[in-house]
Amino acid sequence: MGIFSSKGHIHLQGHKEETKHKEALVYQVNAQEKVYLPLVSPRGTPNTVLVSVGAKVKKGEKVMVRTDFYVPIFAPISGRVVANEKRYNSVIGRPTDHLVIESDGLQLEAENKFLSAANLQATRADIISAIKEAGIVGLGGAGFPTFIKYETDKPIEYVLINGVECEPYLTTDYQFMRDYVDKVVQGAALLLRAAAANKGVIAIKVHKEPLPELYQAALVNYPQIKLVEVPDLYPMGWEKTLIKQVFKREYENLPAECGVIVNNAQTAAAVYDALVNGNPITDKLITVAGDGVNNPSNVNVPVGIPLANIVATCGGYVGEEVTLICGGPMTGKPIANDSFVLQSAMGGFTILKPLKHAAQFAECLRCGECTLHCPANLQPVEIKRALDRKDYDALEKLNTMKCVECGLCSFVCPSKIEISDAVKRAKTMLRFQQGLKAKK
Amino acid sequence: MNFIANTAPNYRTKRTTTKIMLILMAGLFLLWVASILFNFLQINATQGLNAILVVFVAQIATAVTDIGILSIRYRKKIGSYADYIYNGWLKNYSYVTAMILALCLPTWTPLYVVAVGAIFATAIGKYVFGGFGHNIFNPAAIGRIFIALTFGGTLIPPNGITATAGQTITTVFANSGPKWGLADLSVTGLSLSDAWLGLYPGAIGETFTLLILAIGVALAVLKVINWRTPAFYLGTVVVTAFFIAVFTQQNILNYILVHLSLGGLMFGAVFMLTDPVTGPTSPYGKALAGVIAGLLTMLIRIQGSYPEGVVFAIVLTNMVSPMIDNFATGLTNKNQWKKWSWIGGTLVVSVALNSGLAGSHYQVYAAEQQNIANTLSALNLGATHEYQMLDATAIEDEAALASGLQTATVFNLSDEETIYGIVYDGSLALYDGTIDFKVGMVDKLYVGFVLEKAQNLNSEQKTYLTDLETLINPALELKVTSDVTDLRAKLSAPTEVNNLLNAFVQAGTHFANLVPQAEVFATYTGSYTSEYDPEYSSGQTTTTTVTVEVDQMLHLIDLQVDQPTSGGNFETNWLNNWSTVKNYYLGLTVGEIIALTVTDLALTDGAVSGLTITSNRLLLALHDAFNGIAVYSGSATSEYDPEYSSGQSTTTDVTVYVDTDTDTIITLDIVNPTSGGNFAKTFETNIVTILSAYQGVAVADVQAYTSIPTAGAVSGITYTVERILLAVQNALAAYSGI
Repeated sequence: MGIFSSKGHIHLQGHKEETKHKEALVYQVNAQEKVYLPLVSPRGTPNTVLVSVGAKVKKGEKVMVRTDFYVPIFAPISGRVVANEKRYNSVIGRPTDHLVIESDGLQLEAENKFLSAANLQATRADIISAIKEAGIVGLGGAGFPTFIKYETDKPIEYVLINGVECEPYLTTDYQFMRDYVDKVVQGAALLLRAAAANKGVIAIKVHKEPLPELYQAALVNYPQIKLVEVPDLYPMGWEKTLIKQVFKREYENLPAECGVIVNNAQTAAAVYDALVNGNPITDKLITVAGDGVNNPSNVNVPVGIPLANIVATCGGYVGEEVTLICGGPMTGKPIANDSFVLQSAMGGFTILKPLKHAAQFAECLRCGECTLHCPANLQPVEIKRALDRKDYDALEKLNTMKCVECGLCSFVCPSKIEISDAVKRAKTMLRFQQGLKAKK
Repeated sequence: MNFIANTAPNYRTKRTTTKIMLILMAGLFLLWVASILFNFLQINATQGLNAILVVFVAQIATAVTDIGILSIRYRKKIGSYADYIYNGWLKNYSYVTAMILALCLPTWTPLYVVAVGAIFATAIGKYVFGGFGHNIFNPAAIGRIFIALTFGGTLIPPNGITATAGQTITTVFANSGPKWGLADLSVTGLSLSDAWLGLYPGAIGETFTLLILAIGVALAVLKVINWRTPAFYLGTVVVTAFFIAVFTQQNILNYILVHLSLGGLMFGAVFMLTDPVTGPTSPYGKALAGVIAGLLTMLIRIQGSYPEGVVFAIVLTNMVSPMIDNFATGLTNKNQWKKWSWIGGTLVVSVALNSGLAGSHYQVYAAEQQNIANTLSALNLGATHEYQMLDATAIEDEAALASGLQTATVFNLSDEETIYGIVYDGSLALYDGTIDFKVGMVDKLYVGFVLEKAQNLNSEQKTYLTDLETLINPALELKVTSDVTDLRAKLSAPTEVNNLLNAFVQAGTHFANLVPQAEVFATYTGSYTSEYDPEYSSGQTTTTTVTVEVDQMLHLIDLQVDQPTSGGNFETNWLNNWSTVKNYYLGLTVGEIIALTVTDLALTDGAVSGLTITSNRLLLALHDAFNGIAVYSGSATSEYDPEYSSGQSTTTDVTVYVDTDTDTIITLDIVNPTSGGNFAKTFETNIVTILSAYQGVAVADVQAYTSIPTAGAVSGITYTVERILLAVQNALAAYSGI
């Protein structure tokens, strides 16, 4: 990208070997064990509950609907609805009400049919509405309602299935893609039709044996979909970086501007599972990894299980002090307790022994490494300096809002300065400032 | 359970600022060690020790400053004092500044200057701004400039270290010809490879250009320094130098390589410009800073009065770093065209400005060279001679001393070759001495008339001196000191050389007899009596007595004879031819005279036609005077001689004079001691020391020497004195001992 711009990426130590080849654990829900579904959407709006206390529900039965976007939420187990409980909600950041379902020990499944017509005859509109009804959200961590992406009126040339999983420690996408090739591929084909796109690409990182052979074999029947291997760099999983790498295209706000829609591989598989098998998102394959947990592993867990239980399944914590991160260590938010529950958009948890980098703190030496690696081509060190002197004009000129909070700047900083945090604060301040201006 | 919730990301690279600084220190350390070795092995032990002490003093002074300032800042609530001080010392990285500052100083810097400079660099260059990360200027550069401005006088190299006393190599180079406009290293006595390999005394870490470049590449690969600033800096210097060489019609590659190797440019590029704290943060900003620094370096060199220019360029570029940051705001991948055009534009300005200035200086210089050459040839003054460098202490003109005696043309002003005129850097002096020059750029023309060793001038000569002023130009300055008769006239234009030189040609004839003589080393007297002398009409016996004064190599200085003939025609004939005969003998060495026989004499200018016996008698009296001196000749060849710039084999011939009565050596006569250049100068300065190892020493002792004793050892020309010893021993091999 020229010697004056950022390299945009860096190679990280992946630490994937600790979970990659282990057989995934399966979380057993015992009788009378409870699952908890937050009654508040990630955006803070209250959900509409469709069942009342005491009702018997089956696995896969619709129990709530979000009111911010239309996203139905389904019971992850079969059982009986009991009284609401307040629990800490890690997405909102404070305790909220949760719908509680007590397991009956059985695994009764509801019958769902999201897609009325058979696969091959379904129209684009049908497929999109089926995705909507199935409550599919982005399973790569963002949790964005999938159907909205496909309602774009921009012409779409490619659907890009993101199997890159660039965060260290997480191997859930890898194992899922390895074990459920068909679901991913057929899900991709469905998404192609949802986007009315001619071509599809499944992107994975290099050195992910045996995925390449498995997918090349499976894609023989799908000549319009190709498998592309991308270099092992962070943040290759970010849409902009991935689209630049695969298609050499750039866009300002949304990938649809350059004719591409991106979805996580597990999202594609969830689409297939929902539309063809009638299974909404009820269980998740998540990675619990890091040096802070005794038995790092992938786990198949129903949505709504408290994290403490999941960690117990993985052997518990190694010590009294750990950092519990929801997601990977780069972008994941550390949570101060483990009483929150698994939500469908969460992909994994990284549990680490307390980090020691604070001792290496030094003054900013203006080396420019942060600027040299920012995938959004920003200048983090300048943003921090503008923030320190409350210079909002400078913050705007520096395109502060384009930061995707990938954490690379803090990662490379040799002085161990919390620069990514500073940019996040700058964004908050800028939003506040712009809000004030808008009010005027 | 305690869940520690730091902000994301919870993942960090293992690279820390302290590690980066330590790798940088390792690079500096390597450079330092190389310099210590060079100084010990090639200069002398004092300078080698200095190279170590300067760094130690700088580090200690810096650490003391650190601790002092941190102690002032300390408050109990921060925590443990020891922890605070240690952390503060470690994380302010002043030891890196100290190292860089120490490496920019010459080995002969007085230690108190090093200490004060280091304290200034740390306290004012760094802490006043807020400590590490907050300083605007490179603290080492600030310290260096402070030392240059406040203690500049103490940075003059001591005698015997550099070829030109009182000047560093770079100063000598920069002041010869048009400033940095002519890449002729011969004034410095170095070859291009010497300059790149740092084989000359100078700043501790700045001379070994090749090693600095290698370390720089390694540091860039290890990401300790950002490659953009030094790459664009060197690129700008190279491109600008390229065009300057084109406009001044010189060898392009040589000119570029000279610029890169001298004046601490590579050191500044790798260690000072790359200081991340004082440079811009964005990659584009770093590149632009490099180009600006390149422009300023070349500008200061070509146009400014400081010979080096690099530290000033660095500090000026530091000043504009915040502006560059401001300018480079926004997304780093946008506006590539605009970014490249600013870089290209600055480069074009550098090339245009610098080659224009250099070109015009060169024009002036070339024109003046031509002018002087024309004037001198028009005067038809006789052959130019190459001699050894003039000893600066003989000239008292401060301006001349300060600018250094670099270039001149030596020419004869009188037929007897007794007085030589020199035009050096504009100064014309009449001097009987040894000089090695070529005509340089003439700024102002000083004309001086210096007579070594005060002579008593008679009134006629004094009047003449006063009248000389009116011969030149009445409005000019005249300075006559009591010690050395010294007439200076300042001319405003070189074209007045013509009149002046004519005046001095006349002057020469008035002062011919004031030629100082060499020191007398020994006096020999001898006599010869002939029984029947037909040249005496009465045929009686005649005694001829001769007195000979010789210099330390037994070359004749003066010859006096008593009564060679009795009188009459013979006497008149003798007196008419005496000066020819005397000059004949004055041109011979003692050894040659001993070897001369009366038969040989018949064919030479030592014989007077019609006075054969008298001439023979003189020779025989000389033989008597030299009786008791045995003459041995020998030579020695060394195969590879680094004291010759091209490293070829060298042969030195030595004649050993032995006192046969005491079996001791009288002295040596040495031919071809060295090739010339620095080593020749060192030899001439130290000839007495060298000879002292042999004079008066028993032959047996000298034959037993396995190495040259301390008495005759001279630092800087090891090979030469060893070769002399070998030649002497070869000569004495034939000595059997009586």
